[in-house]
Amino acid sequence: MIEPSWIAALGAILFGVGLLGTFYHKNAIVVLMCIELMLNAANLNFVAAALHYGDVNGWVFTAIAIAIAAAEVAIGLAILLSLYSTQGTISLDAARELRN
Amino acid sequence: MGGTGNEYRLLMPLIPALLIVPVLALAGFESVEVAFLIVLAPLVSFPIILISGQLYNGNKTWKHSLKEGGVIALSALLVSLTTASWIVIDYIRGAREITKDASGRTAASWWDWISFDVLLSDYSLSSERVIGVGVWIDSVTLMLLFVATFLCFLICWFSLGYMNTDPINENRNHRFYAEFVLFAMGMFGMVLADNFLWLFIFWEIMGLCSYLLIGFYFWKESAAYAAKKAFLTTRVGDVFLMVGLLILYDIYGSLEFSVIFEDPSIGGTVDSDKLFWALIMLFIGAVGKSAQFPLHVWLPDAMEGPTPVSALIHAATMVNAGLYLVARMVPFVDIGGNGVAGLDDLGLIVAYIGGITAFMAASIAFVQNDIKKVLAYSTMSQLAYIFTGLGVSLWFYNHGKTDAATLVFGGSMFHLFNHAMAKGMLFMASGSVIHEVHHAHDHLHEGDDGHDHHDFDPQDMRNMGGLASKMPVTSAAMLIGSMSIIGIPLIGGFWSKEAIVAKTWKASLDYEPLMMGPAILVLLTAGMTGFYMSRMWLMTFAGEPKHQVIEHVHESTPWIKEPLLILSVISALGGFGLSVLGIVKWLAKPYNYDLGINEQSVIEQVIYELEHAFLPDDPNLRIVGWTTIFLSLVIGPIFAARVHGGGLADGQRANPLISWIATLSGKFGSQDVTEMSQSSLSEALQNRLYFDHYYELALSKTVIPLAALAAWFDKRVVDGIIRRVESNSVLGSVQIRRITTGRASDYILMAAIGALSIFALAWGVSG
Amino acid sequence: MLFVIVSGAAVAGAIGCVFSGRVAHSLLWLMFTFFAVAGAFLMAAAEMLAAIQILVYLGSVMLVVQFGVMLTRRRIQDVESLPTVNALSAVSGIGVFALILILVRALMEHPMWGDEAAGSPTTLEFADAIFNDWTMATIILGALLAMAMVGASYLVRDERLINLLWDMGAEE
Repeated sequence: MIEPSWIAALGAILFGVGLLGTFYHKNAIVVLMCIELMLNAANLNFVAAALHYGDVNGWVFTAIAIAIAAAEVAIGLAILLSLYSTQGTISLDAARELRN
Repeated sequence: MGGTGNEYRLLMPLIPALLIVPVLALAGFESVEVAFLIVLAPLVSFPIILISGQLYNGNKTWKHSLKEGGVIALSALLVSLTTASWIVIDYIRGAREITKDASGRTAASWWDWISFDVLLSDYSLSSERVIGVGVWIDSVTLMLLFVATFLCFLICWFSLGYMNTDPINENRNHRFYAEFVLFAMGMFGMVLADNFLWLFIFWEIMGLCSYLLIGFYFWKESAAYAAKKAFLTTRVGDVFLMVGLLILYDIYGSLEFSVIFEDPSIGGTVDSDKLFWALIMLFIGAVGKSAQFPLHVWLPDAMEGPTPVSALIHAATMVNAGLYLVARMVPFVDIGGNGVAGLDDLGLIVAYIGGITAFMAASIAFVQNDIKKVLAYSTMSQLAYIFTGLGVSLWFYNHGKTDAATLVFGGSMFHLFNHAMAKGMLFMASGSVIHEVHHAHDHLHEGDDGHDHHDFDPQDMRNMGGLASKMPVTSAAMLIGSMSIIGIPLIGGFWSKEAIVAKTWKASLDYEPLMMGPAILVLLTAGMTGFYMSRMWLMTFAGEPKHQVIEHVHESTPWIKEPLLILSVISALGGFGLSVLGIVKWLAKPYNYDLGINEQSVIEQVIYELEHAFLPDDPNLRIVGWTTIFLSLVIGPIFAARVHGGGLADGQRANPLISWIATLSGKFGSQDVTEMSQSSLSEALQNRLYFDHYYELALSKTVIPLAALAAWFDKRVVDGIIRRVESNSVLGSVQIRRITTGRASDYILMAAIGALSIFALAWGVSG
Repeated sequence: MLFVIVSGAAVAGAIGCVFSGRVAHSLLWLMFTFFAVAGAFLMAAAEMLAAIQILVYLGSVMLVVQFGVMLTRRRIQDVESLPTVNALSAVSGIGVFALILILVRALMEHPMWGDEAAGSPTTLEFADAIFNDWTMATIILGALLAMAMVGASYLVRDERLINLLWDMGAEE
C-alpha cells in the first residue's frame, strides 16, 4: 500500500510548480493550463485523505472538483476568445484596462 | 398700545404660575424641598421662549398676547418669586421658634453630581469626594433671593411695557426675554448654591447673559464694544476667582459650604497666609463683577444695553453677586466661631477699595450728562459703600468684636437691599423718561422727511427739564429713589447708610487708624451723593424745559408705572419698617449664634431705632452721624439747586410736594459753573479719569503683539506642518499607485502572494 | 518504487509544461502530467477516479484548450510563450520554491499521518455516496455544467453581420 502522505507530497509539489507557472507566463492559455495543474494537485490531496481515513467523501470531493474544473475551463476559454477578438493577442500584458 | 383693560387680559397665564406654590404647600411639600423650582422655572422657559420666538416670529398672537415671550418669562419669574416668598415666610416662622439655632441655616442636598476617588500619595484610594447639587439657605441667601426674584419679576413687567412698545425691538424681543430668564436662572442659582463650584458656574452664566444683553443692539458698534469690554473685564476677575477656588480646594479638600463652614480653621491648622491669598483672589473676582476700582471700567459702557437690562443686571442683581461672595467670607474670619486669625488685612483692603471707588465714582458722576451714566456711577459708588461696610465687618470679626461686626454686616446687607430696590426703580424711572422723550421726539418730527435725527440723544439730560408736570408718577418715584440713595433721614437708605458710616468711623477712631482712609472717603462721598443725585433730578424734572420736545411728553403706559409705584412704596417705607423689625440683626444671624430676633413691642423698637440712628451713645459717632446727615441732606442738594434748580415754568402744575421742592430749589440763587466745567479737572472726570485710556494702552502693548505672534505661529508652523503632511502623503500615494499596473499577470501574482501570506499566517498561528 | 516513477513523471510533466517555449508543447506536457496523475490515482486504489480523470481531463478539457490554442493564432510563428523573467518574478520564483520545500516537509510530518491508514473505499461505496448522500450536489453539478455550456457559447458569439447572414442562410 502506498503511503497517503507521499501522494499528498506529490500534490504539494505539483501545486508549487503550477503556481510558478501562473506567475511567469503572460500567455493566457498557459496560465489557464497551470491553473488546471493546481486543481489536479488539490485532487491528489483529497485522494490521499480518502485513502488514509477510508472515507469515500474524499473521492466525492475529487469528482466534484473535476467537474467544476471542466466547467471552469470552458468558461475560461470562452473569455479568452472574447479577449482575443477584442485586443488581437492573448498576451495578458496587453490587458491593461484596469490600470489607473 | 391697547386700552388698559385689554392689556390685563394678557396676565391670564400668570394665574397658574401663581397657583403652583399654594398647591405644593397643600400637598405637603416642605418649602426647601421645592427650592429647585426657583432655578428650574426660568431654566425651562429659556428654550421655550427661544424656540417659540424663532418659530412664531412675526405672528400676531405671539406679538400681542404673549408679548413675544414676555408673558412666558413673567410667569416663570412669578413661580420663582412665589417659591422664594414661601421659603422666606417659612424661614421666618421657623426661625422665631428656633432662637438659639446653632447655625440658622437650612440646606437640602439632592444628589451627588460629581464623585470621584482620590489617589493618595501612598497609592491607595481614599473615599469619594463629592460635589453635589443642593441648596444652602440662610438669611443672607434669603435676602438676596428675595431681592433678586422680586426685582426680576418687576423689571420683566416693566420691560413688557418698555421693550415691546419700542419699534426698534420689533420681532427681536424673544431674544431679550430668553436671555433675561437665563440670567434670572443664573442669579437664583448662585445665591442658592451650596458649594463654591456651583456658585462659580452660575457666576459665569450671569457673565454670559450680561454680555448678551449689553450687546442686545449688536448692530451698533458701541454696543458690541461695550459688551466685549464688560465680558473681558469681568473675565479678568473670574480668573482670579478660579485661582482662589483652587486654593480653597487645596486647603479644605472640598468646595462644599457644609464642609468648609463647619470649621474654617480646621482646628487651627490652616495657614492664614494661604487663606488670605485665597480670599483676596475671591475678592478680586468680586471686584470685577461688582465694578469696583480697578476693574470698574465696564459699568458705564454697559449702559448701552436696554434700560431693563441696566436696571436688573447692573443695579440690582448681578453686581450684588460680588457682594454676596464677600459676605460668604465672613465665617473664615470670624474668630468668635472657628475663624482664622490674622486676616484683618483682608478687611482693610476691602474697605479701602470700597472707599476709593465710592469717592472716585461720585466725582465722575458730577460731570455726566447722560442720565443712565449718572445712575451707573451712582451704583458703583453705593456698592462701594457696601464693600466698605463689609470690609469693616470682616475686620471687626477678625478682631473678635462680634457685636460691632454684626451691626455693620447687617447694615451693609440691608443697604444692599435698599440700594437694589431704589436703584432698580431709578433705572426704570429713567427708562420711562427716556422712552417718553424719545416718543415725543418721534412724534414731533413725524411729518418731516427723514433728515438726520440721530443727533438727538433722548438720554441726555441737557435735553430735559421741567418734566415734573408732564410725568408726575415718574418724577415722584425718582424723587423717592434719589432720596433713598442720598440717605435722607427716615427714608430708605438712611437706616443702612448710617450703620456703615458710623461703624467705619468707630473702627478708625477706636481701633485701627488705617481705617481712617475709608472713613473719610465715605463721609465725603455722602455729600457728593447728595449733590449728583439732586443734580440729576433737578436737571430732569425741575426748571424750564430746555428743548422743545418736552412740550409733547406724557406719562408712560401702565406696564411701566406699576412697578415704579410698588418700588417707591418699598423704598420709602421699607427701610424704616424693616429696620424696626430688626432686620439688621436677622441678616447677621447666620454668623452670630446667640442673638434672637428682637421681641420688644413695636413702639419700643421704633424709639430704639430712632435713638440709635440720631443719637448714638458714642459722642464721636454722634458728630459723625450728624455731619453725614448735614452733608447729604443740606450741602449737596443746595449746591445742586444753585446750579440747576428752578421752579417750574408758568402754568405748569405738578404734584404739590414736587412743585414745592422745585420752587424751593430755585430759591438758592444760581451759580454759573461754565468756568468750572471747562477746567482740566472736569475734563479729566469727563474722560473717566483716563482709566480706559491707560488700560487700552497697556493692552495694545502686551496682548496685541502676543496675539499677533500666536497668529503667526498658527499660520506658519501649525498650518505648515499640516500642509507638509498633506503633500507628503500625496507623494507617497503616487508612489504606491504604481503597483496597480493593470496587467493581469501582475494581479495574479499579487493575489497569490496575498493568499499565501494569509495561509502562512494561519498556519503559523495555529501551528 | 512504482510510485516514484509515476510521481517523477508527473513532476517532469509539470516542469515541462511551465518551462516549455511553445504553447502546443506546454499542452502536450500537461497531458502527460494528467496521465501520471491518473496513475497516481490508481496507485491509491481510486480506480473510478482515475477513469474519470482520464475521460474528463484528457478527453474534454485538453480538447477545449487545444481548440483555444488553434483559434487564437494569427500566424504560424506566433507560438512563443516564454516565461517572463525580471526581478519580481525571480523573487516570487524563489519564494514559491521555498514554499514547496516547506510545504512538503510540513505535510509529511503532520501528525495526521501517524494513525493507522484505513483501507481505501470501494467503488460501490463511491456510487452509493454520490447518488444517495450527495444527490443534491450531483444534480447541481449537472446544472452547473449546462450553464457553463450555455454561458460559454454566448460569450463567443460573433456579431459580425456576414456571419449572421450566413447563419440565416441568406444568399451571398
